Amino acid sequence: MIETRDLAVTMGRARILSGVDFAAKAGAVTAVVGPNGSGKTTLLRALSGDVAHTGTVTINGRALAALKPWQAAALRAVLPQHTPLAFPFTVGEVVRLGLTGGDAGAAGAALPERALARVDLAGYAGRLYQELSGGEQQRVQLARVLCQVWQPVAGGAPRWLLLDEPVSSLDMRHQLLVMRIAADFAAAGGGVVAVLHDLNLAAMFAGHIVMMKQGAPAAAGPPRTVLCDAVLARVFDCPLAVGRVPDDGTPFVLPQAAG
Amino acid sequence: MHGSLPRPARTTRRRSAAGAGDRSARARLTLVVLVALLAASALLGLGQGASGASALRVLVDALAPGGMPVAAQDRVIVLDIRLPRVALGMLVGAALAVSGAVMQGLFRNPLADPGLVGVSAGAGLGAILMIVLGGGVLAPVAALLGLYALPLAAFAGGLGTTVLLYRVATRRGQTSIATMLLAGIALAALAGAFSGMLVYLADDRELRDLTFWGLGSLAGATWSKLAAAAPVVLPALLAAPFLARGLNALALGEPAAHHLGVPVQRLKNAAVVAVAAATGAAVAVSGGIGFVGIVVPHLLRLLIGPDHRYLLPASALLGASLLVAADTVSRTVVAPAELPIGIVTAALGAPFFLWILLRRRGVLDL
Repeated sequence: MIETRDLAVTMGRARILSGVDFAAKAGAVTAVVGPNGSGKTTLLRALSGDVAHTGTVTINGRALAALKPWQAAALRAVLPQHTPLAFPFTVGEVVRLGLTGGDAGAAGAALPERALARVDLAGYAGRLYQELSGGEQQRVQLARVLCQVWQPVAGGAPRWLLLDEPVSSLDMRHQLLVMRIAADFAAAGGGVVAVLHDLNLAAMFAGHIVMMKQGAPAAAGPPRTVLCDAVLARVFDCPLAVGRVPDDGTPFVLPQAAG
Repeated sequence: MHGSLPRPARTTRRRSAAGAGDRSARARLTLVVLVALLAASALLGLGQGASGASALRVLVDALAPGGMPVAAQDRVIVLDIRLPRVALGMLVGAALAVSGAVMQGLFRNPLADPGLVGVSAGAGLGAILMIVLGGGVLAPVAALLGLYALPLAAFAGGLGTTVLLYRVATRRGQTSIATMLLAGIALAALAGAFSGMLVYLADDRELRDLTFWGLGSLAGATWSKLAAAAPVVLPALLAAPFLARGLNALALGEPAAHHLGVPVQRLKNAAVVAVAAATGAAVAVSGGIGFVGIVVPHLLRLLIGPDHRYLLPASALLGASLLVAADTVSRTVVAPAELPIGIVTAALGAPFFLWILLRRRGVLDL
C-alpha cells in the first residue's frame, strides 16, 4: 500500500498540491488522471521522494522519508515521462542500469534481455539509445524500470511501479502492450501507480482511478463510479458524455461526444 | 561510428548470447593495450632527452650492478632528472584526464572540463596566493604544511571554484550547460584578476617562481615535487572507481539516479572533492596544461563507450601516456631548449575541441 496523509507541495509561491490523502493498493493498477496542471505528475514525484513536501508518504507502511535511497530503490521503480541521456550508451547498457541497486544477483544477468523482449525490443540491445525514436526510448526506460523490480512481490511485500504517462509517445499497439505489462505486474501482486491522460486506457486497465483537480483529488474509486458524466463535467470543465461498452459495461469517453 | 549501425534483429541478435550492446570485453582489451602504451611511452620518456644518456644501460645497471659500464652522470640524468619527470607526467596526465571524465559525468556533459570551466584558474589562484603570500601573511600556514602548502592551496582554490560553479549552474537537480560555461568564464576571469593583483605584490624571487610555474610545464620535476603532489592526487584517483556506478546512473538525470538507489548528494560531493583534489594538485606542480581532460575521455568514449567503470581507469592510463609522450616531444623537439608542454597540448587539443563542437553542432543543448 502506498498512502499519503495531508500531503502538500509548494514550489516557489505556487501551491501545487494541498491536503492530498491518497491511497493505492497493490494488486490493481491505480490510475491518476485529471486536467493539465492538476498536480498529477507532482503527486507521482512526491510518491517517488523527488520533491520536498509536508504531510507523510508511506510505502508498505514505512515512511518514505526515513528510507535510504537504496532501500527505496528495492521497493519501487519510477518511469519518468522522458529521459534524455548525456552520453552515447547502448540500449543494453541503459537497461542494465536498472540492476544498479538491485538484489537480482546472478539471475540479474539475463534480466535485461528478457525485459527488452517484454517491451517488444528484442534484439535492440546493441543499438545506441540516442538513435531511437521517442517511443522506443520510452520502452527502453520501461525495460530498465522492470529490471529494477522484476519480481512484483519480494519478501512477502509488494513492490511498486510508479509510471509517469507511460504511453505518452507510443503507438496504439504499444500503448496496449505497456498497459498490459502494468496490469500483469499488478495481477502478480505488485502495485502500480500510473499517471494517464487517456481516460479510456484508465477505464480498461485500472482497478482504481484517482481524479485530480487543482492540486487535490476530486474523485476516487473504481472506473465505473468515477467515470460518469457529472464527475467529468466538474473536473475537466467540459461536458462529456460517457458511453458504456455493451459487453461488460466498461465506460468510454469520445471527444466527439463533448457538448 | 554513429549512424551506420545495422538495424536490429539478426545481426545484433547473434551477438546477444554474449550480451549485445555490452562493450565490456572490448573495454577490458583496451585497458590492457593502454597499460602497454603507458609502459612504452614511459620507456621512450626515459630514453630520450637533450643528453645522449642511455636509459637501457642505466636500467640494466640498476637491476644487475656491474653488468654494463655506466657513467655516473648518465645515472643521474636518467634516475634523478628523467625518471621523476616521467613519473610526474604520469601523475599529472592521469589526474587531468580523470578529473575531466568525472566532471563530465557529474555535469552530464562531454564538454565540461576543469580547464574550460574555471576550476584550473581557481586552483591557480590558490597556488599563486601561496607563492606570493606564503612568505608573508600566510607564512604560518606555509610553515605548517611545508611541502604540501602549494598543492593544498591549489586544491582549496579548485574546490571553492567547483562548488561555486555547481551552485550557480544547477537548479533543482538540472545543470544548465550554458550557465555552467558562462559561469566558468566569469570565475576564470575573476581568478585571473586576483592572480594579476597578486603579481603586483610579488617580489623578484616570487615573480620568477610565478613565471616558471605559469608556463604549464613539467620542467623542474623533482622527487620532492612528486612527493608533494602524489598524496593529494593518488587518493582522488583511487576514489574515482567507486564513483563509477553512480556516475553511470547519473547519466539518466539526478531523479532517475536517486530512484535507482544512488545517494546522489553524497556522490556529487565526492565527485567535486575528487575533481578539485586531482586538478588542484596537477595545477600546483605543472601550471596550466589544457585539453587533456576533454580530449582523452572523449576519444575513449568513442572507443569503448561511456561506462565509467572502464572509462575512468582508461582515462587515467591514456592521460598518463599522452602527457609523458607530449612532454618527451616538448623537451626534444627544440633541444637543448624546451617547449612548455602547455603549448603542445593546446596546439593538439584546441583543434580537437573545435572538431567535437562541429560534430555536436545542432545537438548542443545551450
